[in-house]
Amino acid sequence: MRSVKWTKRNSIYLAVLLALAAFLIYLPIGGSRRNINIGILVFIYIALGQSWNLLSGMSGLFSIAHALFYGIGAYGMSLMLARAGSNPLVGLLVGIGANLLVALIVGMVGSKLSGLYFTMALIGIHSIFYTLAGQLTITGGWLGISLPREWQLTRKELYIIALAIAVFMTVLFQVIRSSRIGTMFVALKENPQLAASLGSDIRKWRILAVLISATMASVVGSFYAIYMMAHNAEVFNGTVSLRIMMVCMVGGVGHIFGPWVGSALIIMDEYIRGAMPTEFASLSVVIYALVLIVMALLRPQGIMGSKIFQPKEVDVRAIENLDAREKTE
Amino acid sequence: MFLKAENVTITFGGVNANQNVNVSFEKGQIVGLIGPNGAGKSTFFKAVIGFNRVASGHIYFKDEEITNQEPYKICRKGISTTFQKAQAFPDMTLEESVRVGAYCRIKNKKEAMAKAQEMINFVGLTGKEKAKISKLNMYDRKKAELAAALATQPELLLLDELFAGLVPSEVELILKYVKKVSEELGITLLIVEHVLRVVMSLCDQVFVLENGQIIASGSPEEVANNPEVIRAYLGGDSNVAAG
Ligand SMILES: Nc1ncnc2c1ncn2[C@@H]1O[C@H](COP(=O)(O)OP(=O)(O)O)[C@@H](O)[C@H]1O
Ligand SMILES: [Mg+2]
Repeated sequence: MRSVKWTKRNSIYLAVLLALAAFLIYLPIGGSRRNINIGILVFIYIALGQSWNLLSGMSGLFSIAHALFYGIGAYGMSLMLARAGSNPLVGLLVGIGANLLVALIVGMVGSKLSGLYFTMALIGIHSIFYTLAGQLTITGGWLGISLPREWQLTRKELYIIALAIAVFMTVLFQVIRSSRIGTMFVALKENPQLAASLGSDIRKWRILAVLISATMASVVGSFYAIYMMAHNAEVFNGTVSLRIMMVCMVGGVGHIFGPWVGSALIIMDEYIRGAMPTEFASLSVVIYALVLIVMALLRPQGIMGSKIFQPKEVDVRAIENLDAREKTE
Repeated sequence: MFLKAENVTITFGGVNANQNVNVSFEKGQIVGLIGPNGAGKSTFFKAVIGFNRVASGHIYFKDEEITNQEPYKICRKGISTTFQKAQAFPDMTLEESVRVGAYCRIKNKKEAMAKAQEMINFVGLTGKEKAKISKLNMYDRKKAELAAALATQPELLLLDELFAGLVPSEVELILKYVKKVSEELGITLLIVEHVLRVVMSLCDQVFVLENGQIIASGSPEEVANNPEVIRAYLGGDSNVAAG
């Protein structure tokens, strides 16, 4: 086995994680209903963060509208339970199925053309879903959709499921990172041209990254529907996407514990919101923007990160550009 | 023929960087491609591995057409390369970045790791497996890139100015590994080089490019004494073989 060097950095990780673990255990035992809800929200964003981390941190495709996959997962669950009278397992699978279809389309665009087109395809499809969810009768329009009471769970059950999902997504991230798939994802993020010249089919790996990431976000969205027992098209809201990105960027993009550390931001945000009069509730966006600016100035790689996020273009033939740069140096 | 390029023309913005280039050779040789800076050597290389679009002409590998195929498919057919500007996955460890090459043919992680280790040992980087590529010096980076290319298990390996940017003592050392690639692994080599002494002592056959066109080919001696080559390459004032 490989030996792990014990560095000061490791001690900081451990301290942060222990503090977080202590806080998370305290919440359901001694915490108020409100604190438990914050805990659940934290887990939701950790799990979503891992989904984003896999796509954008590991494989290098920048997902700017990640709420798309989350929202589809939520509607998969709520539509199946409320409209089809089905059970949560079917809801979960329908959400995943719909997500795989959407991910395939976005992934194919993203793998054929440059990263910019991936972003555009994502935004385009996202706005279709956002609008339809708010307009259609079956989704209940902007009023939203309520789930049958029989599927309601207790706070503590929800808390444990949310924790399990967050841990599962974190472990999944690490398992993928250390597998052949993870090596290929990182290779195509760091140098897609070199990866191609070494025989890796960049398109296939890019599409796979979107499929896995969308599935992860879908599970979280489906959980959210059951947690809330009612939701509307706001599951697709841009603030959700922004939060996911913030959690990862503050914590450290591509780092396994990035979303765990970054989710402290969610806690902060919730407490500040609780302390504010309701008319200032939307102030959280301002807070995010401020945090983002401060982070960009002081620590652009995130708290846990070691590397600044740099999305790469997908053009596998572009290696000559590197050579050209060399010549002018 | 093992590799056969037939009337290959490559155009950048109306300028022919390669014009009717014909290069062909048999398996098991060490072939040199020389020419002054800007002659179109790298351009030809990148056409063979699918990075540059061939405007007209054909490239065949083992009698199968590979013209304008995707780079990863060409790699899987058995052609690998190292680039003029050393390419790397900067944030990966040496072991993992060589493993990317190994995954070209091996799906199983354990087996790929074994292949990567074999190639790391082969190029003399044993002990540096866990080092980040970005922390290696230029000499080790070139060897790392060579190891990754070898891990794809090629039949034909293209080396684009592998010796550039190295001090003479390092050139001697890496030359040893290049010879080993040919002798021990039986891989056919196509070497682009402007360190002529290297090419002349190493190659069985040499092609000379100037302004995108092949102006001479043959054994190193024939090429070195070709007045056309001496003119093109050195302005006619010294012996090519002296490098
Ligand atoms: N991607 C490119 N776009 C435009 N011109 C290019 C490109 N790549 C190479 N060239 C041009 O083609 C010519 C040959 O370049 P190159 O093949 O790199 O030469 P060599 O490797 O022999 O030094 C040069 O004039 C170079 O500027
Ligand atoms: Mg060159």
